[in-house]
Amino acid sequence: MAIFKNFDVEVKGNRVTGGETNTGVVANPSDGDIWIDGQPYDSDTLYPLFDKSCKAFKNFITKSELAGNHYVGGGQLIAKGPCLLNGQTTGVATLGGQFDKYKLGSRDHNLEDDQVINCSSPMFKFTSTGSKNFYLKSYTMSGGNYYAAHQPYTFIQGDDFSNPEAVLWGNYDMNTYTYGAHAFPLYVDTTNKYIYFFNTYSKSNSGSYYYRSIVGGISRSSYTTLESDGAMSISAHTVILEPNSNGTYGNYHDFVPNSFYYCGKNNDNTLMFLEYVIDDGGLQNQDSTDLRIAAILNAESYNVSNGSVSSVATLTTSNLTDSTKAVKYMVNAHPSNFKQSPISGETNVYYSYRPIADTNKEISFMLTTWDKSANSNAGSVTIDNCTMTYSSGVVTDYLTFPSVGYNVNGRLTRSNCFITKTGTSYYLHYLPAYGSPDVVAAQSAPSKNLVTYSIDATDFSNLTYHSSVQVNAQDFVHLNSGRTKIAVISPSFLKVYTWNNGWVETASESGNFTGVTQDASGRIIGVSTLADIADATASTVDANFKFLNHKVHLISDSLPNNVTIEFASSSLTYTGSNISTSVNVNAYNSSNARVAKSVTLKIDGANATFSNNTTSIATTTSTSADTSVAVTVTGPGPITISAALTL
Amino acid sequence: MQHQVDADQEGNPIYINLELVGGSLLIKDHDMNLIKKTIGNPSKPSRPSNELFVDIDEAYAWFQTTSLSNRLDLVRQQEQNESGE
Repeated sequence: MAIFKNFDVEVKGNRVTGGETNTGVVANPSDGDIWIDGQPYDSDTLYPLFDKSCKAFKNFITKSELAGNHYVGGGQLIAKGPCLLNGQTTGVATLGGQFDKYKLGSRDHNLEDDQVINCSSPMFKFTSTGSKNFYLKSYTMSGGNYYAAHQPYTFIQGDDFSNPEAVLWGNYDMNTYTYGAHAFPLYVDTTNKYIYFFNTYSKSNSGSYYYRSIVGGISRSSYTTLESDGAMSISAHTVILEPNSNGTYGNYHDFVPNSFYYCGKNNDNTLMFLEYVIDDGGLQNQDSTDLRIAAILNAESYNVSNGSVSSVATLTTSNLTDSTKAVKYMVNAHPSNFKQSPISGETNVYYSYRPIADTNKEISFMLTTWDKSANSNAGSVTIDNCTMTYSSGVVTDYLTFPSVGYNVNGRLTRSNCFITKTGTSYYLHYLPAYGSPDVVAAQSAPSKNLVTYSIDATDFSNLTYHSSVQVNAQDFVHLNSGRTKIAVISPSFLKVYTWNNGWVETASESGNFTGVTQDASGRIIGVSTLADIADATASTVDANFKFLNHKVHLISDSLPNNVTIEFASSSLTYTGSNISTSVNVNAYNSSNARVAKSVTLKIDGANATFSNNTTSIATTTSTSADTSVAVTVTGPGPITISAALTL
Repeated sequence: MQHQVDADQEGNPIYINLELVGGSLLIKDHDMNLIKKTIGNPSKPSRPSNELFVDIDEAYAWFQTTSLSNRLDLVRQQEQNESGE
């Protein structure tokens, strides 16, 4: 819709600095006010505020830097709402930079159906047993030639970033292995006070083997807070679940050979984790000759009280009805969210999907079934092939294997899928994302499709092709808990797609976007910058300094679509005495859902007033119910009430 | 049952200890601390219950498919040989 602000950051060497906090856009959780380049603006009006410093980040030079042609770190956009950062502009990553572009690991590695919004941000939120809110913001930095950088973090107590109750700045570290890569929080045990992470780390400590030996695991860190302990702290990560099918090292360098996922709790309250496996070495190359290993899925539970680990399932391709459907590596495939079964007698059963590829690289899906109550409530996990039905054509007409080549393009590529439910109908959506414009450009059209299958609600292994639309995603983020609206960063565009028995593009804004978020009132805010950072304008005073311009966009899909004002009483008769009545005010978004917006009401005429005895009043609509505004009718005749929105 | 997974600086073997209890396998370290237990035979999951290991031989065969059975001293040696360190 509009570019409403812009700001410059200063680039010298590979360091990026700007404003008093070295952040681009920060949304304050407590009141929605935002800081742009360190300057505060009112949430509703975007009018500049006086002397409201973003103290949560002020004393910490938020880590941001250039890595090759990429702006990494994570300070460009900090928000608790759905928040996607996509640091790469042009070019492919170099070794060492390949991990730095991935920010939504919490989303991808947490399969709980109801955690999609909380996990769709590099800033994780949890609430203590004392009802205090905490925010853990993680940054991803560029690494060296053979190792990933340690991740800095900001741990904040309290909702008001202008006046945080406590702030801790530090770097994630591991006490099990020296060479930790990136960590993404998945779950917080607020009773025993542990944060559980998906970690990538090296199992080797020798030279160039750092990258060759990177694997995935689950770690946990104890923490303390000002609220209950007098000080903030996060301990070093201790690995609690290690790879079950991997050796200690492998080859360079495209993708991790195994990944862990948090599912939720079994009925005995143990935490359930899945480990999907593709190889028994370390990081693997993507080329036409490589085949996956037979081991495909391990399920393990963790008892948070005594730290005991149980092996629940160790599954191979032979556990599939048709093992020939899982022969090739599926590039960085993530399973879908777990959806509770609607089938009678399956109250404790949940289903999830994961793409697999046969020897011809034709894609189908594997169904994973988790029963929380099986094995006397310790849980069980089984797998099976899905039956894929296409009313016309074949799978490759709609969906083809990503072309990633023998380089780090494979590391930027992700094969994502998720389940939605509309009424009693279930759908599986497959959406590959390619990280950078160059890798998007390398793909054929069908490999860039967002493809949807109808799920047979009586047998979740039956999938029928529904529809597809070409999306060209560098990356995407869910904008609602039902996963029916997504924002997609594409080459030269930020787009919004909405599910309405088919995906429809509902907004498009041009620009080279590096971030997008959605604030509490539903506004979608995007940040764009130059396509090629090398084109940043050099200072005329000192050419060692360049200025990298950023634009802040308001995306049209996020604006209220409709405001309604209705009198509470359908009939009013003025008989000479004042009448006390009210109007019901609502604001709706483009999906016809109520949104909370600041609305200024005005009465045209002199025969009615609001409760403040004037003809103008401001109110904020509700997301859940009518907002009642008192009106006093003081005379006969028509009453006209108009509404103005403040954005 | 014992399975060697490493060697100390003097070359003495470091074992993992395996016990079959009620059709499930208990995996313990050299000092008999529990590392992991299985829910029956994890390679044969089912609802409402996984199949059980029929004997320690079947359980040991399963254990050898997991990374816990790796000989870490041999892997370290292989790493050093390949990296020329």
